[in-house]
Amino acid sequence: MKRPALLGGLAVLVVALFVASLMVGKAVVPLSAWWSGDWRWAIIAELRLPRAALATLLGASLGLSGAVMQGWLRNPLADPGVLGTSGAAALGAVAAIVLGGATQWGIFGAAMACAAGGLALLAALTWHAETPAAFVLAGTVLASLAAALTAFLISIAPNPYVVAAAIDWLMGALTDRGVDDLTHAAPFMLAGCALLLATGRSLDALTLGPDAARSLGISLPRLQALVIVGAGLCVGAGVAVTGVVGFVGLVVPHMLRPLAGARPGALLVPAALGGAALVLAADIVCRLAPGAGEVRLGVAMALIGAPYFLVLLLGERGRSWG
Amino acid sequence: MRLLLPLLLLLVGCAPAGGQQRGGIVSLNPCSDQLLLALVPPDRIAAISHYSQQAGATSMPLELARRLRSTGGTAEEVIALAPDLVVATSYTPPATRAAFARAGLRTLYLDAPVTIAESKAQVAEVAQAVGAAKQGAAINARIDRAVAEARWTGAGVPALLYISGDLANGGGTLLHEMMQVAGLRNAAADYGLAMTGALPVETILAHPPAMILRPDADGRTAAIRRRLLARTDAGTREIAFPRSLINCGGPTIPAALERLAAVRRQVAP
Repeated sequence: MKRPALLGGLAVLVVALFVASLMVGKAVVPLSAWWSGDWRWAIIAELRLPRAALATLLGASLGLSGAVMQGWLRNPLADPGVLGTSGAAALGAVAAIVLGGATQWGIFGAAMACAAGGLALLAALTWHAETPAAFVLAGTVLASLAAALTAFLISIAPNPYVVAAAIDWLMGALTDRGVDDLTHAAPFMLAGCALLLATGRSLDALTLGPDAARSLGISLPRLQALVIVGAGLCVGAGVAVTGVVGFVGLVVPHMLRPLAGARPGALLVPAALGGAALVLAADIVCRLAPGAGEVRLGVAMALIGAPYFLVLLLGERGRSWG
Repeated sequence: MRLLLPLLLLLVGCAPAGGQQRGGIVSLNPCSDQLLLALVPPDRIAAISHYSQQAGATSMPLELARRLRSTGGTAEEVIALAPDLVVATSYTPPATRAAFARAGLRTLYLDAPVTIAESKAQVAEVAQAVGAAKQGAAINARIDRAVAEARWTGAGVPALLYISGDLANGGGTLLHEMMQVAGLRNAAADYGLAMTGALPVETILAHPPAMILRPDADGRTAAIRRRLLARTDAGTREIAFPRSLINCGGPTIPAALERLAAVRRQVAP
């Protein structure tokens, strides 16, 4: 597909889903409330607008992180989760809930602090590492450690209500996220996205192999730093306001690679747009579920992502993952 | 290796002292803790659950709870106390139950009652098991009196009750029935919430209740909920409701009903 057509189509899709996201919810807001000074306008302005903006940013940063990780590790199974940052941020949030700091700022601050700590630990573990494999290994260990500590914190929760709150939060949701959540997370996500978008040319060169990339004047340590800090900021801030939402970074690059072509650099912007569209769509579905509550976004993403990936793997049987 | 022996000796020193009193009743759940305390003198209770010693989960005065021995609910702790009776819940892990059975302990497993009638039946069952049938009948008589005093037959006042943070109390619970008795219409049940769960702020805004009862003032979504509810013309009032009245039934029912009825009287005298 021609690149302008692909980008234009995806942008139109994101805008359409963004508008749809403002229309959907548990309350009925008549169209007339949009301009007549009806109090129900506040539902749009203070609940649905920040939520749709957050869904767009979250999806874009996760889709972009996934495309960059897959390009950098040259492995189509890579996911931003392999850095361990999302696990570390989740640990921070659960610590705030269990140890009594479950306010909006408390959860966000603790999650960001732990995500930063996780990144620092990752950097220390892989100082002077030659291959990305060292990062994957260190990230996996970090994720396991964070998961174990999270489980430990849940096990020492003072009462069952706290356990329920922690587990509910871990499932990930955009429910009731307001302007405050958006202003907390957006600077980190935007900064992360800016760093990741700067990796395009280096990732293209890397497809020729590390030696060829070096001979083309690409600084691999700089690329490494951009990828890790960029993805860390995106994923950390995402987990800090929404809880754990997986599969976006894994699935979106796969969906778009046939349309955008095999060059990793060409996939970055489409993956960001595609991620935004996917999360917006999934969040709309979450709100359409019947009953008093909503389906959790993390659960919905896993229900969409895992079967898609299974089908993909079935289709690729017999082909080796290079 | 040379450090190992002193370390082990130190650990042995940390273990609970032997020669403790045997017999009595061990309770492994904060709700059975408060029920037992209402039925028998404290010296018959060999241990209560550690939850009763924490402000967020207890249904008894904390200073009283902290004077009693507590356990973390493991079979080892309970068997070491050699109690006459172990009162636990139907959520006790199968492995722990099997260990109690192997140790030949007499056990009583209680479920979580979801109606006033079930709660009264449980009071009678436990009272029978500990030989305090008279005290059990007295508690149930107090519950009946409280139900009669709180009873309200006018139109129910729509109220949303949070049990903790953003967790709301839906239909099919003991608190739901108590709200109905006291003249409060459970808004969460009207929204379609069964048992407990989180409610999106939009769901509440679509049909705002007359009042919101909550034990904690600062749930994650409390601020945005308050700000948006203030914009509506529903005039929703937010009223504190103590956590200690939320956790259990049995002897807590009269106080909870009295508080719910007092809350309702603020709107419909």
